[in-house]
Amino acid sequence: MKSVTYILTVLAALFWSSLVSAQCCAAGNPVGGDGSQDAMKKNQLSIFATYRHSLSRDYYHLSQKEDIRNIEKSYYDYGSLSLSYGINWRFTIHTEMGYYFDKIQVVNLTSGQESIKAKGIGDLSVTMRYSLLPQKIVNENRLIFSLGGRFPVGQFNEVQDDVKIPVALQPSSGALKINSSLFFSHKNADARVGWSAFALFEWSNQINEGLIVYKYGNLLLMEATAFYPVKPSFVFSLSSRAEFRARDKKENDLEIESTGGVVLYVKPQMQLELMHDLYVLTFAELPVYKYVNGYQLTNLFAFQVGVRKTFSL
Amino acid sequence: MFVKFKLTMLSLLLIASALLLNSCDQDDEAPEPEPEPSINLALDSITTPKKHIVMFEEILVTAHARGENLQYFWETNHGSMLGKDSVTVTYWGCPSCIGLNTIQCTVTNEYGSVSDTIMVQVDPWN
Repeated sequence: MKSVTYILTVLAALFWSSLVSAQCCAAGNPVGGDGSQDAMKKNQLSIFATYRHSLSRDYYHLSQKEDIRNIEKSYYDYGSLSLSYGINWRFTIHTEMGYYFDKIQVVNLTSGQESIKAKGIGDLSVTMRYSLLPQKIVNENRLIFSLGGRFPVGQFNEVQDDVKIPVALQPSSGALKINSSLFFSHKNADARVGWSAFALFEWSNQINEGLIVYKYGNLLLMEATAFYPVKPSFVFSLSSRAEFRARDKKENDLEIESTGGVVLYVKPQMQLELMHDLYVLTFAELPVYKYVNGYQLTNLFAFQVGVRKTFSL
Repeated sequence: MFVKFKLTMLSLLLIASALLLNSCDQDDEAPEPEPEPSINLALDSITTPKKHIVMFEEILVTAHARGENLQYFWETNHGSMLGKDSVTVTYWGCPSCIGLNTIQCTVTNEYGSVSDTIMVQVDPWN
């Protein structure tokens, strides 16, 4: 029973830590790697530290890859730390903060290859989770509703060579984002394979700072996962995810043509228990289908590894 | 008698003029004086050879400023820029930058700060 609980807990963590907001010309921002979708026990504290690398390279027009090399690639290396605390068996609060070690766009100009670089603190994520189902002794089911926000507390005014770098490369998204999600998972204690599903909707307010008037499009994200405990200390899971994003808007509420679209991912994940309540989690995120509006730089892959430790206070 | 009449009329005209000027002052708030270009700090213009480009086409944008110890700061609402030197930047627009975009340069030194903008239209490929 305990192992099933841990599996579900860690899977839930992986769901959240993999959400990414793609953008037209850069690798985008993680939506919020708080790593603790689970409803924790009362007075339980979880710490989840992650490292993530994301690379975007190919331009797409609708569902076709285009031979556009003006932007050679865009990538970031991002570390985050999240804390989760169980207020009681129903309510869990999560916070997450991250730092971009680098966020880079490599461009091919007529004068040669150049890079636009930024680094700094990203957005602060705060989420409240509510467990809709009481914990059972046998056959673990989880149904968790969450409501949260991402606050643009990080750097949004990074400058390179006296030039303010573009919004897509700033460490902070610059916008307040409100999201709500529903997570369900099921695993019979005697079954070999369990499954889970997740849906999230995110709304962003308008950035209005200096010359920048910008609103990210609404995001709908759905994910389904099958997970298989190879050994009690080792779980393999495979997810498929669909990401639907509406077009961004600029001044006068005008939609920006080359933003938004649909991307389908597969995501192999692994979870290894190193010692009591200490887990290593890793996954790769591979887009298998992309349909983008206009012309957009798309994600090639993302990779994440994290360590999670839980304490009883 | 005639001299006295002229003096009275002149006085009335002066009073009426004073009242009129006073009322003008009250009705029309004088606009905030804009920083006057001076030999200490001035941004005369921002220039570019083209104000109409297509996606990913590069243009050089140059600020023509006067003064000593000038510091430049460039920003745009849509598009990317790289500084060649502080005075000149390379601008281009990616696909999400289609439309009329604003490039602003702010020049600062110990005497203050002045800004100017230029508009550049980015069009899609044919």
